[in-house]
Amino acid sequence: MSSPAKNKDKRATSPWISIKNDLIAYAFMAPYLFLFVVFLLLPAIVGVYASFTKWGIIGQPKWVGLKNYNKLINSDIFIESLQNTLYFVVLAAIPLIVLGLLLALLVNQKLRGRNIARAIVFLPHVVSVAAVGIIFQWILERSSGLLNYYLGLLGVNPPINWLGDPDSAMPAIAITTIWWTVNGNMIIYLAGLQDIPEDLYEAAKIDGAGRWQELRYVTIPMLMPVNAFVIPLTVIACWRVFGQVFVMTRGGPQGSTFTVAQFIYETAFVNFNMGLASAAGVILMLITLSFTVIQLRAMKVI
Amino acid sequence: MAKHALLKIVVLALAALLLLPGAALAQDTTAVTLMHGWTGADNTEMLNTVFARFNEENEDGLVIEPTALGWDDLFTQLRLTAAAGNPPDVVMFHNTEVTGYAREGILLPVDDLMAAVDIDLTGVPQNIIELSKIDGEFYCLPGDLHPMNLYYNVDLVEAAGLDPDSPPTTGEEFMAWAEALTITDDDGMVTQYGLDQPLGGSLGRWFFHTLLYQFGGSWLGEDGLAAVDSEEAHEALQYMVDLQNSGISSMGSGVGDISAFQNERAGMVLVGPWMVNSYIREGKNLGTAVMPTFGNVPATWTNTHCLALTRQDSDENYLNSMKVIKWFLENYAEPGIKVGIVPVLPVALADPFWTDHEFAQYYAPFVDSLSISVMEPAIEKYTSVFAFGGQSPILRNIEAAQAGDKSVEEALADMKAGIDEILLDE
Repeated sequence: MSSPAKNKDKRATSPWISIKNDLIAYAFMAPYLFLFVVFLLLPAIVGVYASFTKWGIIGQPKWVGLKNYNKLINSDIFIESLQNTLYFVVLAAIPLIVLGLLLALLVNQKLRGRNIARAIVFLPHVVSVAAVGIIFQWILERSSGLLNYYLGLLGVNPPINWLGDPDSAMPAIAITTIWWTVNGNMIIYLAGLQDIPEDLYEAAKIDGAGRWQELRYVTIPMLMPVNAFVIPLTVIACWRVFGQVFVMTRGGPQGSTFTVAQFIYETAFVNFNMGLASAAGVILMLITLSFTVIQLRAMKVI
Repeated sequence: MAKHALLKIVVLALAALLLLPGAALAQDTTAVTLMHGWTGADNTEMLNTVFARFNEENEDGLVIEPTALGWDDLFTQLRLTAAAGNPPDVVMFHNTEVTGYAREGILLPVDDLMAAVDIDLTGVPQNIIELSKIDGEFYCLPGDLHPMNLYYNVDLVEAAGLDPDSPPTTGEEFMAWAEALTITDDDGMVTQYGLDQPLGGSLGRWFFHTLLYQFGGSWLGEDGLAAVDSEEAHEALQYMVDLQNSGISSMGSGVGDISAFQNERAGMVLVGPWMVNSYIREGKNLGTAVMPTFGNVPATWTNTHCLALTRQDSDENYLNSMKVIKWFLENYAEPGIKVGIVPVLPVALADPFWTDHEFAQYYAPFVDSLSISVMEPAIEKYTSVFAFGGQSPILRNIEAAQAGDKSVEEALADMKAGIDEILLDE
């Protein structure tokens, strides 16, 4: 006669039970996997294939080998779009991460009205990109915009032509992006902060740590897994910047805000050169992948 | 038992109610699908009311089924639906975009169908008729023109001591107005500009086009390549730059921005008729006039919306589609006034909806300018060469010259190189 514990072990290790559990798990994942394969994986594979072809959206793609990649490497406009996008990544990604963390620390304080503060900070996130672009066109307007009005009170004169000057247009897009999306990072950091066990802070206090030391030796190390998620995602999102540029400047003035995503869009849907656009898409994917791997390695996550 | 019978009757009655209208629709009506790019809540809704009027009035049982898409989406969808063998029956876009789609075999030549429904283009300017043809065959029918002309703020003009009933017609008169309208404060800061000339953008390109043709130039040479390195092109771009540097022009805030005129910080602006409604709605005391002649000959930029038929697997709906087009062209007055475009068919221009409308006075100069209107060349690669995006060598170089980052010579040489690269790309 076997004991109940033995029966339980048998059930747990039974191959049928294991298969059944696997099937249930796959069944739960199936809806997402179906959508992922149909709308992401397959198009990505087709995109890689298309990058080696000449294809005008209708008719059969014609194999051209590496011609599209060769063309891109020698295209001043594509190289310029890469440089512009890298500039945007530098301008936007660092503040998005740092400010996201600072805002999270702020709204994590046990202060009166913090839930309202969280809601207010998160509000811009639900605004559509078109609305954000138009609102900031008004705010950044040279003669009657809100920003120049306040800068004028501080003595900044003549007013800055934010969206009309090639030197200030990309910073203006970056400011817009930070206002619009920093709260996404804030929410993730806030979740990370709330996962840090309180007893670590108590132990640090007993050891005589001040607020700064708590931040440096408890909070930031404990947020490393969150950073491993937030930093690559932010950098990838910055490399893919499109909507706010399209609404606010359409890549101008003089191409100073022309980004890789807009290059891909115009090449695909204005010039109908799907092969070249796909090749640019593959290059963008490789760049973001490289950045992600480098970051994760530096953070010793992989 | 009786309960079950009653339930059956109710179910059958409901089924009949659901199915009968569909069956009736299927028997009595024929759908004509129409794809257009007049998006924006007002335009789409207005067009739908016009189409609804057609659906009510026509006696052939035809029903227009419209689809509104942004222009870029429309171009993509037109290609995709054509590739899938299911394009819309009718497409409404710009005349300059027709050549590319006709060459790809997406559009149908319509001469025979025009004759079958008796479409009369008498009185339509000959240059517009010619632009509707490819190799001598009609591929689209022009509905309207929307030329660029002069708007001025009557209140500001009167305050400057100018006569709003005698708007400028020459470059000299224009400069005199612009200088009178420009106001500077005690610190030397301009508080009101004479002209709201945007930095580049579509309006910048269209003004350059206007000046190019006024000085006798053109976009393309006889070799089919860009001719923007000509003396005439130099004069045109230099004129724009000089206007910029003369201190009378606002250069906007951002690419293509003309908010200075809207905010009453500039007395004049050069733009198409589609702004009439919004300026009037804002309560502006508005004046409009034909584009002044800055160069040697009168000319102004324009484009046209036109309607074309797509090739279908079956020709059974071609005639119906052409009936829809005919009705729409003849009833263009309402969309004309409400969208801010000028119908080209005399019958539409004579429609009381157009002639008696309270806004007719503002559109009169736009009608008068039809004879001097010049379109950009309707080449196969039009949408690439004359694109509005960041890749455009035209926009980039106009903006660079206006901002003083390139000399006029450099800007035009780079513009030509950029256009030629697109034209020569296989």
